[in-house]
Amino acid sequence: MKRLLFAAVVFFSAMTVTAYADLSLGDPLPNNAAGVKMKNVDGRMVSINDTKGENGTLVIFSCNHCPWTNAWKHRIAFNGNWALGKGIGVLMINSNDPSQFPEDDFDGNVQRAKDTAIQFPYVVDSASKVARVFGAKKTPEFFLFDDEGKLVYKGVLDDNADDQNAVKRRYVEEAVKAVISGQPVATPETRSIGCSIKYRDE
Amino acid sequence: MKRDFFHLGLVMVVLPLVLVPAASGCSRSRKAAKQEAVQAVQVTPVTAEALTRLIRQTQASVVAVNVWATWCAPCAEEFPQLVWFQKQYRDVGVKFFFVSTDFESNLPAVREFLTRQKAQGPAYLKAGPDDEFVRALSPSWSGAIPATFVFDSKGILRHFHEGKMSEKQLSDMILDVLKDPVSS
Repeated sequence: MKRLLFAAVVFFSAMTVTAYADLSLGDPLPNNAAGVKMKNVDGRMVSINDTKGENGTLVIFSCNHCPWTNAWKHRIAFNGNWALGKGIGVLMINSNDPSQFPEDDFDGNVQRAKDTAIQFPYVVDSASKVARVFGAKKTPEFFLFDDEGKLVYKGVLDDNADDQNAVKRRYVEEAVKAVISGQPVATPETRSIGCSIKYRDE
Repeated sequence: MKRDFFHLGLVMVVLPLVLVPAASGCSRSRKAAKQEAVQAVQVTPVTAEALTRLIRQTQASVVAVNVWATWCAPCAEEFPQLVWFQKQYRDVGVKFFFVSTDFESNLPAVREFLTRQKAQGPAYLKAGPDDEFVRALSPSWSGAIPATFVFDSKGILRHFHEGKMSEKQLSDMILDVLKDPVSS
């Protein structure tokens, strides 16, 4: 009985670790992801390092097929454009394998960037390496680093995907404002339902 | 020869007159029957708090909670095996809760999906903030779907799987708790 329980505990903890071993608050911008050059909608190759802002950097994992990213797409564009104006570097990344979702290919990114008038790069994570290093599991998901490159917020854009008129908390906006004014982020980590990222083969 | 053409012409005129009303009548009744079945599936909105309470109050050795959405392809792929397990293990005290995370406006599609899959109740629709909901089910869950959570008779989370499961992964989790449904 005890042995069974022990086995169950080991099994459960092993599952927990593999299910959510990702970047934690306070971690530095990971070197093995920050330098990865990815193809932007304008054809240029861009890395997270290239897009760093003087006040911080916002990395957004998104895609084009997911109903949640679709529900949020204009708010994502608006918040990203706004953060850019505040001296925050913004980079949106699509790490999905387009063989599973055709609209998540380069052309889909170009279309999405045009539809939502984003002023920040939207790039193809062609080996899903950046998502893997970050431990990004779903879209949309936001990672905000401060001016020293430390992770100060990870999670969702706001607290209501379905109805933007019912939004009560704008987590990313709050975090960006805190970072700019040198204050700690009040809610540094949030959870939400989203589409799992279908990693490409390595 | 001319007469044959006449007959053919007659058939072509008369046949649609006979067949069309019959066919449309038939599809009408089939549609009505389908609609009835679709409405028969109860989908109840559930907050994180209510779901936790329901899991604890359910008189079952094992409660498996599957979180899904109609628009999630891997969710749809694994759904038939969940329904199969639900039927196979119902009599030995394993209960399945299906919690859709579709937007409320998508409720008709949720009902239709559950009916088509022949899922037994109870079926729920996530209500309230995501953050509470995700944390209530498991602190280790990223929020990506599908996700399946296996609770024991005391409502303690014993196993959890994020992403599509194989049949073996599902049965391993359920059988492990079924062997020892009272956590100590």
